[in-house]
Amino acid sequence: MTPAGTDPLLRLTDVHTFIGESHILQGVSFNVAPGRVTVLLGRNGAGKTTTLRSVLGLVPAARGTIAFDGGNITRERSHRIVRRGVGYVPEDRDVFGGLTVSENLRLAQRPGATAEGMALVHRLFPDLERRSGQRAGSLSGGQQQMVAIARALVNPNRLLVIDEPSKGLAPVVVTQVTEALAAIKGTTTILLVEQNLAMAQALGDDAVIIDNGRTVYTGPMADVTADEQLQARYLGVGGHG
Amino acid sequence: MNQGRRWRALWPVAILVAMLLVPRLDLRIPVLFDGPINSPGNLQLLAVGFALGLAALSYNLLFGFTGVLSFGHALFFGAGVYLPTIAMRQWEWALGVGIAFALLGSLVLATAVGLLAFRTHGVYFAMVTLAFAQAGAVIVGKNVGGLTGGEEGLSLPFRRLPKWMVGVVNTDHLYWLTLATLIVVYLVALRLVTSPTGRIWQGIRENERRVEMLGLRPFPFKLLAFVISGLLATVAGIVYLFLVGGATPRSVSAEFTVTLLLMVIIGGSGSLWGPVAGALLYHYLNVRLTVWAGSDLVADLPALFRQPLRDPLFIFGIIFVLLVLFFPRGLAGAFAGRRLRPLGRSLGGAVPAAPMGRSEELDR
Repeated sequence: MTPAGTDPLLRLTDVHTFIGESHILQGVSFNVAPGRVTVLLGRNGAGKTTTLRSVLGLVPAARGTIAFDGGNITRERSHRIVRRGVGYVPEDRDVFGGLTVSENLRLAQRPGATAEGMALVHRLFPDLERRSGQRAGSLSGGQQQMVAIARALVNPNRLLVIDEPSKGLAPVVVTQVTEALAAIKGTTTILLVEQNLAMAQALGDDAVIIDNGRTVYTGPMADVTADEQLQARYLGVGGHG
Repeated sequence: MNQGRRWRALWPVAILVAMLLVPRLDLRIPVLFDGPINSPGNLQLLAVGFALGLAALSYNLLFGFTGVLSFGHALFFGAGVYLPTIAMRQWEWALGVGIAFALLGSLVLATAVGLLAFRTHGVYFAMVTLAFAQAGAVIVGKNVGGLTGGEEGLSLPFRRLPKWMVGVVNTDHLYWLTLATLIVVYLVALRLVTSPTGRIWQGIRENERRVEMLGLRPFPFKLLAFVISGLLATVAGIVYLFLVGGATPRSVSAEFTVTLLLMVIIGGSGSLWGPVAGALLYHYLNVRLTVWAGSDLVADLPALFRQPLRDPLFIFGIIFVLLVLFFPRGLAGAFAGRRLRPLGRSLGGAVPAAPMGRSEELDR
């Protein structure tokens, strides 16, 4: 799936991860090509979120290797992985509810963050600039999702890892978030978990399907879109998508 | 609206000016204070309240702003009480050297305790800090090396103090010294909690994992909060020492740490001034209820009421339960009403209009 001649930015090789006694990831391998959007697909409980958490060092992989930009990060501490230039937008958004929107963003800025990052955030989410003094905990789910994405964008990250940005959001907000991500597509590399197939199709260049903790498909997103049988088999999506 | 905002900005200044003028005010407030407000007894009552407020404020930097529950804070307050006394009485050092010794000792102690204790989390952290504080209390209580005076404590050698600090007639000087120290520490704390580091502390309080996801290692920030809060507790201990004129083991006890926790909860952990108010109220009630419990009013009651009411702690317990029930966010929360934010702009109280962060902080 990596175009010939480019090294992948992120490479997972036969990754096995346990949560407690449960063997959740049982051999996940895929590459994320620089500058592209890779969508991680699969049913609920397939291991998508665990894959992202393993990449971030939150649940370290027991076996296998995870390499970012050529460096082995398999057993690195989370904060060091983040400092290498990996921005993470977790599933539950995890904004600091007690802090204001602008405090959340300033807290996220690492040394090396530029004014451009903040300008980009304000361009993508003008709503956040208007609500900069508001407590993040009092925002709607969609606005909190924007804060969570914005936090990853204020730094010049080389990889954005985004977990189900559409989860629990009203359709109109999903459209907004999709548009924002589409606007940054091409400028940065994104690894995205998304159950919402429409959003995945709108954004994804490459697709990885995980089933029962194993990689079962890697290839262009367009092929997944075209292959209804594949969708029915691994994504639980009917013929009408 | 504007008028209201101006008033909100002014009232802390008004209270401050009033507090500074108290030693020169020959004012009688019946029921609340015996005799004129500027009598040495009343000034002492208020000044000890300020010193305890300082200690509660230092504790709250750690507990309220960083979310770290330590049961060892008395160790650092006790260092401020004992180290200068030992240095001046046992080794005959000068006052300034004694103070420097206490601060340096506290810095080393807080760093060492923090380095070890932060290897654990949550309740285990609380237990490790408690163990250190108990070790300190045992060393003090057992009079190790004949330095601490054991259960008796140690009095301050007054001949080593400047004349203006000694004697009942100079209580007003000590009052001002304590109040000035409190103001300086308050401003330092305000600067700290609104700084980028302060925001990270508040982030750690909300969720340490999330802070890690921002690429930050929480440990050095927690250690910094622990050391600064310990040092400020030592400052509180030093001014307390000048007020009470000696060191007693109570100042190193775990009970004292719990008292600080109570003061913070009464005052409200979300603000800087809340714990100071909580400490003043606690100390005031503690002193006044003792007087009241011994009064004829209580003595004339039937035995069923008289016996529990004779114990000031019993009455205080009831007041505490009522305060927590009706003001769950403490005095600060009650005053700020619905406008209170658990963090951020409610921090200052004294500077409600000040922006939390200026744009130059963006470019760090």
